[in-house]
Amino acid sequence: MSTTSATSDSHNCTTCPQHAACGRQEQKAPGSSPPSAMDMVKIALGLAFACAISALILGWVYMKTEPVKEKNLKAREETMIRALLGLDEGAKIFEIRRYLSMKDGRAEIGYLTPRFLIEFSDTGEKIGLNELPENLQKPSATEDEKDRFALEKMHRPDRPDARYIGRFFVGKKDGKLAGYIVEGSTLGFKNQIRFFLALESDMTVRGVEVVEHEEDPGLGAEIIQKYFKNQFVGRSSDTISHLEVVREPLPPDWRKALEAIGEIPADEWIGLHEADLAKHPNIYAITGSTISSTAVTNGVKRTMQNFQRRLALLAPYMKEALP
Amino acid sequence: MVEAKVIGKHEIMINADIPAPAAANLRLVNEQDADIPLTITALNKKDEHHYIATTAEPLSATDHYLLSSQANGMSVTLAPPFFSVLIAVIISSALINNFVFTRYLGLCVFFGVSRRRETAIGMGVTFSIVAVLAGFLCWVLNHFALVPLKLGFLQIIAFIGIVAALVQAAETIIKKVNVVLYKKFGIFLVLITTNCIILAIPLLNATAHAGLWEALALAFGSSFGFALAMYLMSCAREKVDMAPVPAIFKGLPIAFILAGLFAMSFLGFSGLKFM
Amino acid sequence: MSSPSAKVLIMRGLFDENPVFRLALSLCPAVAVTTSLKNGLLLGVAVFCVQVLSSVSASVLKPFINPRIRLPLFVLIVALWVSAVDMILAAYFPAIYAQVGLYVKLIVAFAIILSRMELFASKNPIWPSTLDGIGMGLGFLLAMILTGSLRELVGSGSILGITIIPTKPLLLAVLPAGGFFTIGLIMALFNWIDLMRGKKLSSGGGAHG
Repeated sequence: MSTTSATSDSHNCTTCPQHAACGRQEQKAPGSSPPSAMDMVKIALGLAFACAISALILGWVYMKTEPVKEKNLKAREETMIRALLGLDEGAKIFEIRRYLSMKDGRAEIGYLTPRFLIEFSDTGEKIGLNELPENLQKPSATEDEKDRFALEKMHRPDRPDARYIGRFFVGKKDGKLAGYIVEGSTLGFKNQIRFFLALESDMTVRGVEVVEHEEDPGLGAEIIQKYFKNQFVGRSSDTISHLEVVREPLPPDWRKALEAIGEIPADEWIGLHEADLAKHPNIYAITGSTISSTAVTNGVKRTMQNFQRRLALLAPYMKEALP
Repeated sequence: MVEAKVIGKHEIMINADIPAPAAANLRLVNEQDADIPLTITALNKKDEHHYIATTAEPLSATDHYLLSSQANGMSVTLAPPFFSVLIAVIISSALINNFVFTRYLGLCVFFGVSRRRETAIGMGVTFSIVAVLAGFLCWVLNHFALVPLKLGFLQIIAFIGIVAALVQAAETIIKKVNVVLYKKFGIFLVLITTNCIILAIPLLNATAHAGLWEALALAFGSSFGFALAMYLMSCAREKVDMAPVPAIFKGLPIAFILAGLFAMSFLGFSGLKFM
Repeated sequence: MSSPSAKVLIMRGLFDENPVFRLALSLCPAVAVTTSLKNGLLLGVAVFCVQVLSSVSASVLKPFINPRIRLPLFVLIVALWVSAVDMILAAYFPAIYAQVGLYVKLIVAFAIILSRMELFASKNPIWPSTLDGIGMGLGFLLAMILTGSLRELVGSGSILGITIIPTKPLLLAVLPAGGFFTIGLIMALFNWIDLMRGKKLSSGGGAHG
């Protein structure tokens, strides 16, 4: 065996790297006189050089991977959205971003559609309409560029804190409205749960997809399972607002039906199961995870409610706002 | 001076005189959805300077709300009190999200140093001090250099650099200033560099865009949680050392089983809610 | 020093000095992300890459390194490779990265990587250092696969997300506490294999004696 293994055998192993390290330092410290000025300069230069090289390498890796990362994240989001709305590649998806600026308790809200930035006062009056510059209307425009444009426009001298606060997507197929995806978030067991709520044009839920969560595996993390998230499918906006979470076991046949969504498109499924939906008016909580279940249910409720009010505000401009 | 706070699931207490026209024009919003006004169903005068507003929507004491009146230009923010936010951060990072038992960080040092109560305490104290210092320095660097310059990809290198430099500096200084202290805590100082918690704190703070005080509270809470875990574990291990454990379980395996039992009991903190 | 053969170097990392079960180093991710095999695999591969790259770098650069600043430089090298691997994983595996992101970043504080650089790579030529890195990296990967598949199978009744047992046999296995129990049991198993092979248990079992 090499000396290496001998070293690790003879030491308490957790301290191994440090032991070796500090042992060496101690040996050196008393032996060698403090480094001369020349040595110090050399060491400092050497370290600075190494740091600079590393920073350069990382900068290069960053430049190479960042576009790929953004592209992949976007692609993942888009696949999710298409799957939720049951749209194929031919259909179009538009993002609408929302910005907020506050002063003295008064808010101004800006919606950035693919063509316009529309600004509203907090009483719902339109107070501004800006057409996006040519380069931002292209699909290749990044979120960063869009945010910069919107914030600049909304950034009045007396309102220095405009910021991005949320977004939703509109799906269009053959020129017709095919549904909405609203991004929502809610405080889960420990941290925020971010989700997509898919709605038909008449506000019936088509699906819920959890995008990001930090719930415990085996417990709260079950919110991503079909048997939980699909319980929202087929509910109208009115039923959603009255949903309650019950701590009863999920009936096995209902669970089976819920797990079939995905194999059967959501709209067909809703048609088939109207009687079942009436029979199960509530959300069955995940066993052992009532907090996570309630969090998602409340998040869906709130997201639905807020979205309806926002959409009512935007509706008159929607036609011209989308290309 | 107008003050207001959330006092119930549907109730807000307002400490001010509200003239009648203002009362009719009150507007309450959640700061996150400032475009959606909440419905105030009733405004009752409690006494001369106090009003209680009732809302249709449920309110949460941890959220930020804005109350304004268009009639007299009044505007007030309803936020959870500063100190209760800090205390909530500390308790949640020390107990509910204890790094060792629920996030499994710092395990190498945790198992290596928790054999004797004395070393456990030494490590806990040294670590807490260094972690808070490192948390502060990393926050400053991240907030004033990395974020404004968009150098987020250098986070790991920058933070480990700060930790290493801090540990080295502390070691040198303590060695020169107080030899007794150095003999007692020097070895723990060196070990800190390989404790992932010290790196996890600034990384979590950076992801959460925490403010300075919250960052410090997280650093303090997590290192206190770590010290607590070390102390509990060392007490248990001192006892187990005397117990007749099956030969193949002696040493580390049984320590892991013990840690599992602790982790199960820490699960009990997770329903804890504040404010 | 005569260099041990490739087989010895690699087997040492896999079994005799398995970084997780024997040396009890790099435990944090071994417990944290092994709730499913997929997560465990991703982190195992990440650590493998960082370990091999760092060992090789240390071995290549050793003639140019001033002994006074060797450790800071080693830390820098590890941090460099971790950052690079982190960015690449974030770009190409966004779905899994979302779950294990923090732990990938924390590889930088893994004692095992620095300890192999300091104890082996800084004293040995490039090829043995590479093998040593591969052995240790594989040892870690093995630990992650073993723990990950065991916990996923027992806790969720599936492997790589494919259901194998229709019910969840023992939910505890994927809960926070389950990770500790599983590792403790596997460590005991390693000790038991030693016992069967007729080796004497190192005093006190594990390395902590």
